[in-house]
Amino acid sequence: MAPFQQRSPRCPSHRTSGVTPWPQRARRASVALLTLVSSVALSACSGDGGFSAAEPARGPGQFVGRTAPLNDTFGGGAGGDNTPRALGVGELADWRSCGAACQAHCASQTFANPLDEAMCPHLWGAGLDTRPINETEACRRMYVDLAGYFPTLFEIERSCLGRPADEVALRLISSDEFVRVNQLHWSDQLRYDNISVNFERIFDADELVGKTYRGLVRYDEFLEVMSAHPVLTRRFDNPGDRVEALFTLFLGRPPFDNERADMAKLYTLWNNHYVDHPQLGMRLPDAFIQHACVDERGNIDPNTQGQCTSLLWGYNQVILEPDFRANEGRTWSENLTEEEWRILQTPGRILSVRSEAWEHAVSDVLEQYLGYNLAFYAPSVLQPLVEYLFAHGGDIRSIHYVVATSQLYRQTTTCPDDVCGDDLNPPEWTFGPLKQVDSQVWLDTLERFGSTDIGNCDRRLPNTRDLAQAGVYGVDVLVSSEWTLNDEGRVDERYRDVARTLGGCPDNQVTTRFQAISILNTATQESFVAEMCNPGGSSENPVDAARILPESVAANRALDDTVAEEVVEYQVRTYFGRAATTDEREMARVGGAACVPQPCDAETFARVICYALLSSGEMLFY
Amino acid sequence: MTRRKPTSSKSTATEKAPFALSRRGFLKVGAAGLAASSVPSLFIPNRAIAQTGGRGTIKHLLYVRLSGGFRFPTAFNADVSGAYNPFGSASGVPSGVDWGVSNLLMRAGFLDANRTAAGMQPVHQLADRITVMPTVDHEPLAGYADGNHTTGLERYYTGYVNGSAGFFTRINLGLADRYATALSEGRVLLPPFVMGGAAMARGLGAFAPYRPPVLSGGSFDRFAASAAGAIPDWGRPMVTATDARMRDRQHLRQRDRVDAYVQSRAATEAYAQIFADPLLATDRASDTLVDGISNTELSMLFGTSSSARDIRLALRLFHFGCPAVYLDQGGYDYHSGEQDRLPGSMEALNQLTSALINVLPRMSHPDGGTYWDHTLVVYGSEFSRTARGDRFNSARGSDHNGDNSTRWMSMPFFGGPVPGGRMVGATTARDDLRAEGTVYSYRSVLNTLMDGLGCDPEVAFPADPVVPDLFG
Repeated sequence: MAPFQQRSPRCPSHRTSGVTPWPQRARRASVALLTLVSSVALSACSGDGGFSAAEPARGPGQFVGRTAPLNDTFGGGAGGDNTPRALGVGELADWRSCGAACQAHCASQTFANPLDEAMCPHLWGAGLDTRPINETEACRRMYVDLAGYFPTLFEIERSCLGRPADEVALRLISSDEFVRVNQLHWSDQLRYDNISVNFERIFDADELVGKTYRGLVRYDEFLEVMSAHPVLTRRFDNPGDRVEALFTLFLGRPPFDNERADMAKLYTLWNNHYVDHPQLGMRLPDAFIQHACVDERGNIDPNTQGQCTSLLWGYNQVILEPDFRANEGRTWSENLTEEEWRILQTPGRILSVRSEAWEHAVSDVLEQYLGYNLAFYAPSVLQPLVEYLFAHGGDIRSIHYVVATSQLYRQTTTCPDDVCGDDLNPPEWTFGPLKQVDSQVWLDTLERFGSTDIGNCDRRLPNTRDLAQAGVYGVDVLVSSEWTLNDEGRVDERYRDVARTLGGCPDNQVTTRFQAISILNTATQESFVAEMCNPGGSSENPVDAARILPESVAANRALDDTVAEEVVEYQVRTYFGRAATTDEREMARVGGAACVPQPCDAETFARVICYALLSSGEMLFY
Repeated sequence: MTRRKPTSSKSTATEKAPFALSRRGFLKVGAAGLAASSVPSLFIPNRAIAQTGGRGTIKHLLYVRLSGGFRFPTAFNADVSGAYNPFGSASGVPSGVDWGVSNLLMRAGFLDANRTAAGMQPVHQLADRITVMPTVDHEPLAGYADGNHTTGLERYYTGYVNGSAGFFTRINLGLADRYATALSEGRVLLPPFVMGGAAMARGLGAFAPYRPPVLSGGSFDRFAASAAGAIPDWGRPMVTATDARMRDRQHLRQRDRVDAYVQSRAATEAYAQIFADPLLATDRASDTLVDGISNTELSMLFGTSSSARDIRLALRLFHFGCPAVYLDQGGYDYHSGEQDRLPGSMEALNQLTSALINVLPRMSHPDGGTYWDHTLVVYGSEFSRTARGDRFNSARGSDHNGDNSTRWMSMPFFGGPVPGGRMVGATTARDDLRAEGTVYSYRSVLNTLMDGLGCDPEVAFPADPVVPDLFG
């Protein structure tokens, strides 16, 4: 196991122990002096690099992380195709109970992938089978789920075809795109909102997620830090609500009343207010510790310490004794030491040793990839996956690897009616998962295909107005973020505007990311594609012909069957990441013949094909 | 069980067809509309119904959120001590105005020669057109205010914390019968539009099919632009065939979600003609007079800020039968710098208010009269603000917590359905903001607005009475 990468807080780090009493006499004698010193220290700190617009992350995430990943590779992976048990005459497949014949069948199979093995009693052992997938479809799906965009056939050929699925999955999981996909996932889970939470803490949380998905932080460490991270505590007003958020986030259920009441005592110290930021000249929301359960001298008060003590999961106490950093009994979160953070993270340590937390982590990954809650139907799959996760040192990436290489995930979504049409209610794991693509994945992909640039949005700073008005440091923060500024120096909101209509770039104040199919969404998607492809040939919106035509076809070339097929083949390969089907070639010929004004040229036809393909369901579902 | 019919058919009976539907479009949309209108639900007698006397008088609602928590006494409840309104009161207010008009409403730097010539005035001179409820409260029975951004906004959008339906979803469901009637007559009416936080369009459970469209930060210019390069007729079969092939390939169990998209594309065609109407491309200069005013003049009067763009678009959506538009305006979460920055922000709001009061009476409504006669504009926020007994906090701003100063949302209303110059509900004591009179809940306000719109009473919040004298 690699050691922690120890990092000191940028400002100030005075103590290493939260409950170790500050020497009383020294403190009493030095209060006035220390107050003066601390004021000087804090002001000096704030002016000499305590804040960096380019790297604004400040918070407890800075104290965790390794220099090398927990794992360079993972065990198991994709195995061979398993065979279903032959059912007796009149016997129906029963995936709910696995009898002797089922168990014997599963025992006779060879499994490389622990998810496949765990699913055998509900699948092959029950007499059911999976739907085999071709490499192209599998690769396209993996790119969307693991890298966050649709690949072209060229990319698929270069990176997937002829390569083992294990290798492809491992390479994608090791990529920056994978980290970003999961940073986006957690920004939704934690609902980053810089109106309610100091953006420096949000950046810190985002970096922590990044370290977790680079394999530098164990999942339990991640849970512990998040349990007392201001991105969680600052969003809620009272201890009970914080407990509820913690349970919902990491156990997948709200706490029972006794759990809520008891663990709330470990959140007694947390409070919310606003703090003046010296460089930005802004008043930012932030969390602070109100030193409760201590007497007027700052020592643990035996009469009130019960208000900060939990007994339901053993004896756990969260009390921090104030020192010179405390003003009016408050210590702001950015001034807490590593040891104090460790004490505050007690709720996370309580949860991280519960099997529920690990099972929920696994379940969450399964749902990310399969689009449904597999554990609801087959809860027995969770335990072996949790063991697999433990075997990989708590590296959550291992579960992503195992699911992405499983036969369960690597199934085709297609099936002819004469093969699948008779079974009206097959289990969802007997065919591939068809999911609606996230609006930002859709937008990013179309931007790649069209080579257009309409900016971006930054998950860590959903609200830009205050920073834009805060002066040079605020603008510096925006410039260093994923937002882009236009020629007038204002935030380019074009991408955000389209994405928010479609359900992306959420502000996270009250609304979160959503997926919908509605008249407005559909009209927006169609119009966005129409702008890219210009199917009607408007002179106001010319399209770069090189983007929609194969190299060998000139824009003004007369359209015939061969050219029409070439255009369709080229665009299907680029947009859908596969070769054109016979039906699509037929469509090319028929559509080409109908093209007007005659004689039609290649570009006129290509613009319409571009619209037909990019606005189709194949770009919306994968 | 069937949904209860509206108690009044006055508004639907008098509506003219703002947009006629082609036979093909009617058949497509009609099927979806009838399916939606046949969603069964249980009728429960609701004591919050039709008690205002103003039922059905609002044809269009412009519902504006002053974002971030607005310090209401600095604008609409100014006759209080400096701890609540450090900016003072206005002079030169028309006689007979009961509510406290703030000095900040006098700011009118936007009144250049063109706007003055068009008749725009400083807002304080228009105070007799505006009525204020000084003490709207989230929960009148609660011991303290909800000054939390997240939960305060939840209440603002849905009436409750974690409410199952946004206010606009309730409106959409409440007017579903009106849409069905219009469809049966071959007309398409635009639904309510949400141009701000999407939670206003939240819909869980029975509300889910009635979520209104969200156009956050966008515009219809995109539709007008793309319509110019729309798919030619010879290409349409390829579009349809591409979707059909994709759907038909899928496993039978997967096909429904692709089908939903295919059906949505068909339904979109029916609305496409409206969406692509140049009238909705409000960012493009056009001197064509519609309802008596051009997009160019609207742009001159309102300006080009994002809120101004939203309001200009809202006025044009109203032309196509849209009953309500929600939008966010400004950013008033001034924990710091309020003393210096709020006056400028108020000037931007003043311009919008002044322009609305100027143009609505000049715009002729398709049903007769003017838009002023049929439109109500309402400003609200998630909560008010406090400086804890001082004029400002240490950063020359204000915060929000559980006190009266945070609690009372002094909401202004203006438009023909609500006679102006009045105060409705409880007033506040000058020195401590103690309420004197009946405090109405925020949900009561929403119930009153839904009643004014003629919504099916079934969608009202059941425990909150309407505000009986808001409509005069």
